[in-house]
Amino acid sequence: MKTKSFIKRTKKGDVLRIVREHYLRNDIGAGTELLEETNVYRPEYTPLTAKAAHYLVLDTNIVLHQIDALEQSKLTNVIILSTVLDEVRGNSMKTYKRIRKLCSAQERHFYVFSNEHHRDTYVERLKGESVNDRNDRAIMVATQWYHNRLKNKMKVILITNDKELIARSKKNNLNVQTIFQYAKTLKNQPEFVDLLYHPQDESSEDEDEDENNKQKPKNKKTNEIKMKDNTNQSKKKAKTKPKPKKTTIYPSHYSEMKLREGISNNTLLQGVIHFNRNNFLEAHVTVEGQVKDILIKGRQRLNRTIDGDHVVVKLLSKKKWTTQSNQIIEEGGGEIETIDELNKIISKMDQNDKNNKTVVKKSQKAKGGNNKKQGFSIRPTGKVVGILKRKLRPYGGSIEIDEFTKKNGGRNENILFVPMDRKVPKIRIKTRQVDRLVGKRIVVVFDHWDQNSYYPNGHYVKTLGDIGDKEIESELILIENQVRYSPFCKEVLDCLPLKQEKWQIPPEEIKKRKDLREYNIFSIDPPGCKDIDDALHVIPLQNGNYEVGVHIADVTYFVKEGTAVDIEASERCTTVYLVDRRIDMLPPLLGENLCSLHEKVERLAFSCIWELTPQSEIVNTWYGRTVIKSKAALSYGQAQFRKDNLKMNDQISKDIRNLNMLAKNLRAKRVQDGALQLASPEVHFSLDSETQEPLDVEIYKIKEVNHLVEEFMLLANISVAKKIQATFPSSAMLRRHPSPRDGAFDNLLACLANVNCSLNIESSKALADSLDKCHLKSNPYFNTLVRILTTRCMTQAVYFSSGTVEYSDYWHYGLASPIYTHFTSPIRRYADVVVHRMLAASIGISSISKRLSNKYEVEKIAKVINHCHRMAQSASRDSISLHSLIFFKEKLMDEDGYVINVKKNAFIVLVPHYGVEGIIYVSGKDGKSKVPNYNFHFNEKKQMLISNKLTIKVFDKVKVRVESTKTVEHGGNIKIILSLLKPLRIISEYSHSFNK
Amino acid sequence: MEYVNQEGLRIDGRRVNELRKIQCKLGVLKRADGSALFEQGFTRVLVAVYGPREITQRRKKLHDKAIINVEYSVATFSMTRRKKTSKRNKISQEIANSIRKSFETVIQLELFPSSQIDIFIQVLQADGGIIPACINASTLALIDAGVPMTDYLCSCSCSFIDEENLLDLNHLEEDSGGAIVTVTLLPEYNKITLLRVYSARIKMKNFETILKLGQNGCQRIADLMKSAIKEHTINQVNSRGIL
Repeated sequence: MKTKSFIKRTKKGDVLRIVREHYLRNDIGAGTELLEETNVYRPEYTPLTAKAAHYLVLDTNIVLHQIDALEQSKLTNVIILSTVLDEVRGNSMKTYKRIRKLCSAQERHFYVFSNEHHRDTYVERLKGESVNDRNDRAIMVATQWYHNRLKNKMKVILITNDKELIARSKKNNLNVQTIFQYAKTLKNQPEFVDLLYHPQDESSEDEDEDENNKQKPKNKKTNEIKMKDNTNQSKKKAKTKPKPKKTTIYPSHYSEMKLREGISNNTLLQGVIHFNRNNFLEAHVTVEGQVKDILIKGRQRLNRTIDGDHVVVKLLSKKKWTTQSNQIIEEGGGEIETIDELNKIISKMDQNDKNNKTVVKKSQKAKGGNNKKQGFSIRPTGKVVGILKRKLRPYGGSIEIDEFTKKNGGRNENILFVPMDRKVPKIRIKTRQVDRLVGKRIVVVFDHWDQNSYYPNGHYVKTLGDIGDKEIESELILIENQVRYSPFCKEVLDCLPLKQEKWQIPPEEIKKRKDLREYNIFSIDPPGCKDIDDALHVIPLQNGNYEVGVHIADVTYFVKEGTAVDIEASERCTTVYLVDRRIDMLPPLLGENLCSLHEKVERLAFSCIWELTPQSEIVNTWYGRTVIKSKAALSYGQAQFRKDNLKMNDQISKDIRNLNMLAKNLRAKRVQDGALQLASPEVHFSLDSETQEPLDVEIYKIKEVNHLVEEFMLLANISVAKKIQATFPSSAMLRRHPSPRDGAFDNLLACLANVNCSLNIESSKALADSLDKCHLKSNPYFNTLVRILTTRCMTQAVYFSSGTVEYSDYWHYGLASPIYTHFTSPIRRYADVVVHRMLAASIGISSISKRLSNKYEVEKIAKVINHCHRMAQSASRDSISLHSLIFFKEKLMDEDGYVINVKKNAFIVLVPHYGVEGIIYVSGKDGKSKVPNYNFHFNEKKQMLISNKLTIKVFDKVKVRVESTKTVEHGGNIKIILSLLKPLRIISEYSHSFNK
Repeated sequence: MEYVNQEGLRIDGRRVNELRKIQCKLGVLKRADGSALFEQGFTRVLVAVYGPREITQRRKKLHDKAIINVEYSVATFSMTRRKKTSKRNKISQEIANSIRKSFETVIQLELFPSSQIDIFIQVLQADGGIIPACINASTLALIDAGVPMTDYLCSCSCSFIDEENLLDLNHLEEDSGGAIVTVTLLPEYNKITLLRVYSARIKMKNFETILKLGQNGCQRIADLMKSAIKEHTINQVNSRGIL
């Protein structure tokens, strides 16, 4: 049963000599139906079928690089050697997991052959042989073994790109092919070639290998080293080797040594790069510990970075420091027209580069003058000298189509992929199936970016579906915002109570809790709300005070820390609301049923009960777990009706009136403290995700009872925040809203000065007061407009761990509260789940886990939640704009709009009726005015576009035509276009219109 | 770390219910009354037995039976990192104690009143499963010394790692953080005399299956030990020219 011989294996770490046993066996089968094997350990099913055309053996690099292709394609009957698996695991755990998943998929017929433990295929390392050479030999020996055993029955093909291995295998009469050669033989799967990742040096290898070897004698050596040294290969991707033949476009990155040295002696800075949404040639790098971001402008200085990369930056001399540009530059279709052959691109590139440079220079010169006068807006400027870590993800988008690509359809060629994300550059991909990709949404992965390549190279991953299809576009929004939208997996569902819908509260649980089932508790929510998080009650006490209770669904009773459902929720972080769907954080059984506080059912709750004076001063507070039975689930409308209709004298209506009275007091107090959002119903400070959506601004009528619920939720959140902060001063999960950055209001104030208004931005109180005074007789929408623009100047509220920030910085600017957290919506926010656990621990009914008492761990959780929260918001925004696109399809509407921003070559108009924004250019890309007789020039100080007859400034009321048109970008994407009708006509037209 | 891969192989190539390679030799030391060298994979233990002989420390003397003295020491060179461990440290003493206690149940001590039996254990190479190896080696050495016993003592370790029951852990698997269950068995009676659960907790439902696995392992070790003793006896008989 067990082979008795064993071989020592040494592994030298620091100075240790680790010796391990290594047993060789003779009971490992070949896993094929062709061989009748005796004395072999047999799994129930043999993966390799007799019907296959051939069996494939893959080498390590193939698995590492072509994992996308392996997953997507329909390759079957593949032998994965344990040598390969071990190497893959050593290099990338992610890839390892993916290949493991492939191996366990029965329909793919992948077989893992444990060649390392097989008596006949084990290979001992020879003297002077490197580990990689040994592994290559092991792969070859295993292939040989299969070859010999299946001699006349089946062809076994070894797939590798390593030249040495190919040569050696050929000597041994094995069938060996490179992946590219193999891909060519697959006639029925043309898309397989596209799926392949093309390593840098092998871009032309699939053409003719021998020729390639002659062409690059110097590169061969490096190539070989690279093959052997596959541990470093992934890192090497980002760097480039100088190739004398081709012209370089981008400056080369510094060596790793030089970068490290620079960072340690502070001549170089490291940080995360963020691209400007409106201008893809501009970005800023946030450096930790530094107040001001570093501005980076121009292709050369950006030097092949992609949004979110971790980069190293060198500051330029102070003379070269500039301001943010005021131009809107889109990577439109006009810049490079035909991209097929590399040569063409390069010749074009020189031209383009010059153009770009001149643009940059011009703008610098122009601003140079202004800067001296204004002074405040000069920002440190730098250039990227190295990329530490790329932030890579699959990008969704479509291919760019022009006349040229259309003509050459069908051949293998380079085409450009246009990502949906405006901050990501176009990516060049190779494909043979242009025809099939036209008009489709596809997903592409970034491979590398050469020094001499204008665009980065990538490869195709999958097709989602047709452009314009609502389902597909929604899916794309989810992918782009990294929302997890797959259904809940089995492990998660297994965590739920067994009886599903019929689950009832166990009697012993009721005993542990305060029994409030007899209390007159009710909930007020938007109509049709399925996940009811919160409910209220009020009781007038004999001493004239009121007992008010807020009852929150007790999610943590069902979602125990560390279980699969908890882990899943912590990864989803929040429920994402799209216009047409909702991506839940918790499985619907919990969110819509067991946790949700429906009327007339017994539910578990986490309650916060105060004694309030009639002036709404808190006398005392009680927190604890309870069991409740809601008497009524009201909608806002119903509650409002009960409140207003004084004839209704039932208990609930009376309670609503009492609560409303108390809420009004609370509200008045907060306004006095300077809470901002109270005064403006439209501009909300991330409090209620229902009202955050811009379209809700007009659809959603805010009633008095909305504020009622909101006030008590705020009170509960603040009380809980104080409680958990007191118990866990260093690790409480809180939420803060930092004051606006210095200079954030500069532009807005300049614009307001044009209409003789001003804002006091010293404190939130002052701002709230001055906002109330901002009115313009000629423009009834003016106040709202100012509020919208004010909101855009603000920073975002964030979750944080209390130990990582000074106490004075806990301040919530928008709510004017010194401390705040989220407690009231655990069904749809993970932060609330964490807060629930902390509150339970702080009142002593459960213990806190190690993780939640460590401030760094909590901060880590907070960071993830913040990120997901932003992504969720942007997904909802994208979904709204998608739906407005669909709404405007084949429609033409003339509407009133307001100018909300003026740039050098364009201005932005908001159409409040639909919440649509659009850019209207006054000058083209060549700098010439688009409008005859009007020669606009930009006055930065006043934020105006001035011509001899007309000035355009922010807050101007204009009349615009809204329509949606197909554009050349995004391969026939539909886009909303605004044309100005009044006070003058500027018709936006796209010269490269798709229909032409 | 993947302790058992999807093909059902452990890191060193064994399946979950397989023992490592076991080799044992009796009578390796000439001066001692009985001695044995026991190897299980890379774990290697040498045991010398003296006695029954007159008691050296008078105050420990028992009038009705013999006492057992166990001295356990680990060679400095036995592990990956060289470090000195004294015989007197707590871990060594605890191990010695538990070995002594388990042998008190099988050695017929009442046959030798007022005398003592010394068991000297030296771990030469440690690669997991030291205590079971010590117990197995001591059994062999005692038999070599001709000390009358009611049954063998066979021991073996097992654990529950990665949702799998593993038999006979090596050093790497012991470091996994899973519980280490050491089962010591009287193979003839199929009774457990010593059971240690070390370093982690274990679920009750898994425990029974682990115990069964351990018992099986002990039985297999017992068979190996018996054949080794048989071989040794035949050799000795041959060398003395009796047969």
